[in-house]
Amino acid sequence: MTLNRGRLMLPGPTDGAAERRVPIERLHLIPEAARQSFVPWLSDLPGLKLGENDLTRIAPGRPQAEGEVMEISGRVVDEFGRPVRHTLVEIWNANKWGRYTHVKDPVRERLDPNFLGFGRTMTDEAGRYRFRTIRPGSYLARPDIDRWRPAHVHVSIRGGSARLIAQMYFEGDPHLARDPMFILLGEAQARHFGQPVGQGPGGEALYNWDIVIGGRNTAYFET
Amino acid sequence: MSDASGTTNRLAPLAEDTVGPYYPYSFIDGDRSDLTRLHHGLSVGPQGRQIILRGHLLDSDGQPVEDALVEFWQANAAGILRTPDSDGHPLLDPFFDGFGRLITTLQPFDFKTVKPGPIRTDDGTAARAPHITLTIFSDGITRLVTQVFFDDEAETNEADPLLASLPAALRKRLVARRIVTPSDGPALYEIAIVLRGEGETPFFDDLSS
Repeated sequence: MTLNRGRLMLPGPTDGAAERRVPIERLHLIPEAARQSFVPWLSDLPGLKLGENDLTRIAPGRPQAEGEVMEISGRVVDEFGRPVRHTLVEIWNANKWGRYTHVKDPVRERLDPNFLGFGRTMTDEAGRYRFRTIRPGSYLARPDIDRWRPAHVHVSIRGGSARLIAQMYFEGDPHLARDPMFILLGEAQARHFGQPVGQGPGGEALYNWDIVIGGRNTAYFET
Repeated sequence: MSDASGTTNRLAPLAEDTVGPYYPYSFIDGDRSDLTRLHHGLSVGPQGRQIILRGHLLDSDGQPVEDALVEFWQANAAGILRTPDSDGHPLLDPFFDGFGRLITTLQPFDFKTVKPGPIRTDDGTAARAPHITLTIFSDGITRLVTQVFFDDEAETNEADPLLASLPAALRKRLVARRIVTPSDGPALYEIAIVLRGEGETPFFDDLSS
């Protein structure tokens, strides 16, 4: 075993950006004396407005976006099962037709004037969060090799020393098998499926997705 | 669950994933690319020497990486990190929390801040040379973490445990060069962060180390 070497990052197969951006060298291990300053602490999070966790409307009282309404909820916890409280959870996903409202999305699918596709919320005392959104469509990410991205919801967690970016997928999606990002999850794949848990009062599909944040940063400061 | 170290009953974490190309621009709240900005209506701000850290974020072709999310973390001018461990410390700066954030364009990024002080041990010796921690997210990569130092801090750099942990040839890749020192404005430091290939920046494993 080589001294002082950490993980080797792997580019996904045929992902153009990864082939130019993923380091060739292994990561370096952090000496203990330098560890503390590698743990950012976020104390000043933005104040949220009413309805920011409801992506199905641009604002409360506005028309509902097209597509199937779904609700995603769960808990954010660390590896010891302790709730990550009052942390910012940001999500973003494509619309019903697989297009992001993001100005850089080159996909030619339709935009929905009632769907922005991003929202955020803060976890409560038990680490719970909840979003309403529209079930995202799959989209043709690489027309040159006919490769689709399976339907997915992006999530970003930040606050305190918690930091994670991950994606939630849907079990049974036919595009999963050829998606480099999903393949690279390896044995972690199953943890990235939202679990269907029935229907809400308005017929919306309910999903449970617990978010476990690992690594040493999350648990670095005892608070 | 058990891991290699024999620790049991831990929950299995989610895997870190790429931020992708479409992180919403509007999630960048306020202007955290400038930590020297005065609070609205106040004429006092953070203590210390104002600097600009100009970063060229490059891929293996030497091309700029656009739409990367870069997060910064640093000590204040007195060398204090604002964490739960420093709560109530007399040298905390009430106008500086040390956390910055921006999304890159095709131009080099300019992060305006104050120069961090050396982090000292309780007996006053410099335990860490002045530095800024960078966390980088972009399409194609998961989280990458490194630290940037300053070329006018040769003496403390020499003794820094992180720089010392690297082969000598790699150390200078983490040191920003001061290229402009105006008498009445921020000093300008410049560094290339090369994600992959020739001149690749050393990145650090803060998950497993």
